[in-house]
Parts: sequence; C-alpha cells; structure tokens
Amino acid sequence: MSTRTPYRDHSAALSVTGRRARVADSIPTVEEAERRMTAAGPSPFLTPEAIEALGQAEEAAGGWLVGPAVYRSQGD
Amino acid sequence: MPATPHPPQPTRSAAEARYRALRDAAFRAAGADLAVAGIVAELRSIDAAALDAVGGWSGRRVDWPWHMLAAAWRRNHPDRFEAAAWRDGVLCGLVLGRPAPTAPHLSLYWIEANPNPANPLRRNVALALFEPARRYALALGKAELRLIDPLPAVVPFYCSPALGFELVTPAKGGPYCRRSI
Repeated sequence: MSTRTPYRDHSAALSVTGRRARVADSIPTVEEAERRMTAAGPSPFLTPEAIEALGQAEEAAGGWLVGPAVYRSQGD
Repeated sequence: MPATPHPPQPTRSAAEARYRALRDAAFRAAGADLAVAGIVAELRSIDAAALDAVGGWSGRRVDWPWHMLAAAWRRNHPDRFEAAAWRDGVLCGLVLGRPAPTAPHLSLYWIEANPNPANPLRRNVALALFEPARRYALALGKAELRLIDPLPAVVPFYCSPALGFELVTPAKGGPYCRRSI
C-alpha cells in the first residue's frame, strides 16, 4: 500500500494528513506558464520611473520592505 | 452501482517538483528582463547557502527567522513563491509569498533586502524580487500582486504613480497594497 500523500488535483484548497496544503485547480505545465508570461506583455516594474521608485522605497525601508513587525528586533 | 473512479492524484513530491519548475521558469524569464534593464541578478530558491548568508547580515531592522519561515512554507505550501537574489556571490534579498487558492492574486508576505550599503544590488533588490514574483503569478494565471503588511514608510513609494499600487485597509486583517500585473 502506498504511503505517499495524495492531492486532489481539482481541489482549490484542502487539508491532507493534518497539514495545510494548497494545490491549484491544475498545475500548469512549464510550456503553458511560459506562454502566459509572454502573453502578459511588458512589466510595469521595468519602466525607468518604476525602477527609480523601487530604489527609493528600498532606501526608505532599510532592508525591511514587506512583512509584519512581530519579529522586530528589540530596541529598534 | 460501481464507485466513480477518481482521477490520478499527484503526490506531494510531484506537486513540489512541478511548482519548482514553474518558479525556475519565472526566474529565467525575470532574469532575462532584468538583464535587458541593465540589472544583473542571479535568482534562486532559498537554499541552504541563502539561509547561511542571511545569518551574516548586519544592521537588520527586523530579525525574521528565515530558517523557520522557509521550512514552514516548504512544508505547507508547495505552490509558494520563494526567491533569493544574488549577485557576485553576495545574498542581496529574500522573498516569500503564495498564490491565493482561488482568487486571482499572488501575495508577498516577507521581503527583506540585505541592508549592507555595499549590497551589489542596492536600490534594485525590490525590483529583482518583484519581477520574478510577477512572472510566477502570471505563470499560475494570476492577475494581481499583493504586498501584505508593507512597511508604512514605504507605502507612498508603492502607491506612487510610477508603481501604481493601491493601499487597501480591510476591516479585518492588516493593510496590503495591490496592483494588477
């Protein structure tokens, strides 16, 4: 008998053996993924203005860009 | 009446491998786009080398336990987005996120840049992490990127006309920024 953990491929979200795990309706192939990435067109983040804004955000963040403060260092 | 046969079910390891292949495809595509913009970054999964390297970062504003985060997300989210941005052998930034199960967005929960002023990707770390996240979201058929619990001081930049994010403050839960991709 197989001991491998099964995933229901059609399920959007499910629990398996007590673990929270998620699988998309169907996992796309690499070929389909590449087709989707190409079809999307140019990135909004790669304009000169966006690159500059992200650089400014990074300077203001001091490394902390996204995420909760629950682990913030003591005394910071 | 005979039971309806179930379709073949991918195993945990098969799902992990398929999502890893999609992340690698996103890394390749994003790396090529970044190179065209003059930004050379090596994009990888958060591997043991990255977890060792982040321990050497000094001057961090936060003290997130990337070892624990990475392990927990690997255990629970085979479809997660994880990336480590490297340049010249220096770890420059880390990100963790995951796609919504059914809604059309990918959320980024943790993004940290190496605060060292000598970071070889300085001022380009966020871009080097956002772009593969966007690519991975597109690969999964998502149409929106979300930044969960962004640092307040950075929100004006995310929500500037140049970047085009919108700040959402739901009645329940923390704030987030969203943008169509």
